Amino acid sequence: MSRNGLSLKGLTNLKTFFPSIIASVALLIIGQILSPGFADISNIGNLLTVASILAIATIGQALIITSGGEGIDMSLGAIMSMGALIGPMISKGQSGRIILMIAALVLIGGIIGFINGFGSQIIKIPPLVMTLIMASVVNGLTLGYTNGQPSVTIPPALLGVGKRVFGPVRVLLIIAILAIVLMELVLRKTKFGKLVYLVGSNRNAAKLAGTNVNIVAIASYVLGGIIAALAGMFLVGYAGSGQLQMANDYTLLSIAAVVIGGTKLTGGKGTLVGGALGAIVLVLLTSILVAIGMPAGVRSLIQGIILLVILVILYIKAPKLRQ
Amino acid sequence: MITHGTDKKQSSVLKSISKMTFLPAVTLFILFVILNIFITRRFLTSGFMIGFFTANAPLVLIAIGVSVVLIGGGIDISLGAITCLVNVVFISLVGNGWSFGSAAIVGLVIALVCGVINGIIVGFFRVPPLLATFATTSVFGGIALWIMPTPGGSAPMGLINWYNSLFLGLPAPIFIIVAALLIWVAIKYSPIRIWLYSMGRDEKKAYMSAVPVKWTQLFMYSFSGLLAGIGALCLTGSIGSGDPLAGLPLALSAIAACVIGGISLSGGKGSILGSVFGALFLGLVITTVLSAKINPFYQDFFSGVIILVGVIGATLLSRKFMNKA
Repeated sequence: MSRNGLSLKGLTNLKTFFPSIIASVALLIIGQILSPGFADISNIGNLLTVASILAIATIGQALIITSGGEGIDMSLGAIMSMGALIGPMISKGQSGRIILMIAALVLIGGIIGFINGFGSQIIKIPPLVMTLIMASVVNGLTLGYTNGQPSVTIPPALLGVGKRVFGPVRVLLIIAILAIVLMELVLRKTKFGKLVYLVGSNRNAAKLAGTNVNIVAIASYVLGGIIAALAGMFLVGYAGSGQLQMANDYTLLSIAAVVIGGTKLTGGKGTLVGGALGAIVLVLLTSILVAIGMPAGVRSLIQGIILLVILVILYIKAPKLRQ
Repeated sequence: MITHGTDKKQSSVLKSISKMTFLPAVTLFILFVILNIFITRRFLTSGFMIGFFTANAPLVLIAIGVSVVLIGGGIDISLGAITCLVNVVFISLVGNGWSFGSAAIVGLVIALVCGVINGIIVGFFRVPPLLATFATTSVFGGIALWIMPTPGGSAPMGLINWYNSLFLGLPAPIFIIVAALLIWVAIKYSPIRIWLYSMGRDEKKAYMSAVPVKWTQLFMYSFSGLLAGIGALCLTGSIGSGDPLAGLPLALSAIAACVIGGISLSGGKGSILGSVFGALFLGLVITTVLSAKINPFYQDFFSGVIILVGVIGATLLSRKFMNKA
């Protein structure tokens, strides 16, 4: 198996995108029927902006899942919430300090990611448990740092992520597209990216080929932590105000987006574009349910049932036990 | 231990069962008991013990349930949502004039049905358990939130009074935990135990060795669902009202308790006893942080750090122990 073949496999397999694209179009039509005005170009712009934040968060989750070894990041939402609350506090609401804020978030996100990676790869705590405990540590840290009452003054420059560039397109959408293209290029064209796929698809083969598996996997967690912290910053910039644990839902949403996007949780496969499409599907579904006035409980119930149906369809073709 | 384990494979399965994987959890537990004797006022009084077991029995019960799933090579993150669902159904029925007994039975049946649904999706539709129970979390939790959007209602005083009292000289929740453990002991003397451990070690080999994999999976998710139902009744006795979200964190705390207790997430290893001590250790961590007079806003952070250090310690200890054995 040549490296080239390995790296191209995911991209050329466009088939995996069709279900999400078809689902998005269908959801748009259903939304328009149930709530006229849903498919207006300005509303689509809003929906895509919300989906952009989830898509950025999903990049980090997808990277960690792709690196394999049961990799998963249950602390993503906690890191995002931290970025959303501690980031503006570091900037003190001044646009001039925005570089400092980004640098600080990259550092903190990177350190948390490193601890996740070190604990799961070197100490060999299962990633699910490791990142779960980190989620409570990070949430606790945010609570302590903000004294329970986050005073979020967002620098005007950060609020700019919600501004319109042209037509319904907002800055965040462009940031998300750039981030996805950049990370896809890193995954497809750089040595690191190819190693992530190699490590994710077959750890033993990667080891035999002389790859330092642990370093590649830890690097994925570090990058995932950094991306989550920055995604939190974008979230608070778009929302305009912050509250404790505001992004905790993003943990499970990002995993759902990755799965809908066609990435197997076993690692070694998957594309960021798929994850972004998954994010769009989830945001569309949630928005429709909100638009027709479903209470939170029923929304969660319907989302769960739809996810179950998708899963059963995806895995009904899985090899049977006797094979 | 068991005489019919004559063939080589089966005896190796038995060997892995009898390794004392629960030692790190017991060690952590004892260390924290000693620590708390010094820092927690009135630690060894019956009043404190009642409070401790009242608050932590739900976690212990759910940890017992999820242990069985983890040993069988699965995972169940929906138990917190099942707990919430049973809690709000029970409170709503009692609020509508149902008797305690009939409301409790309906609650337990619902818990069992939720478990059976998980078992069918994982066992018969072959959906990976993490994803399947992730989706059912949304379903069960959604129904709970639908029935009772905000916390409310109140539990029958009889339940609260009994649950928060001494029974035969011991805190009442201990008897519920012991009853749950007795169910497990009964299972231990049936072939299900060997099926669970061999399935956890290698599902395909177990299938080829004529283990009824699908039915055993159905069994283990039903068992964990039922225990979440019992845990929910305990939670109701503890908080005294209905809350559609109160039980949610239990799902993941219980899994952490199991890992501290020496159960491997890849299946086939560990014992229920370890999980019980793992869960009690998690309860003690909270007691410790509360007693240590830490700035309240940093309490969550410190309890998280202590649990992290505990898991690292347990993982390193059990690896050392495993290599020797």
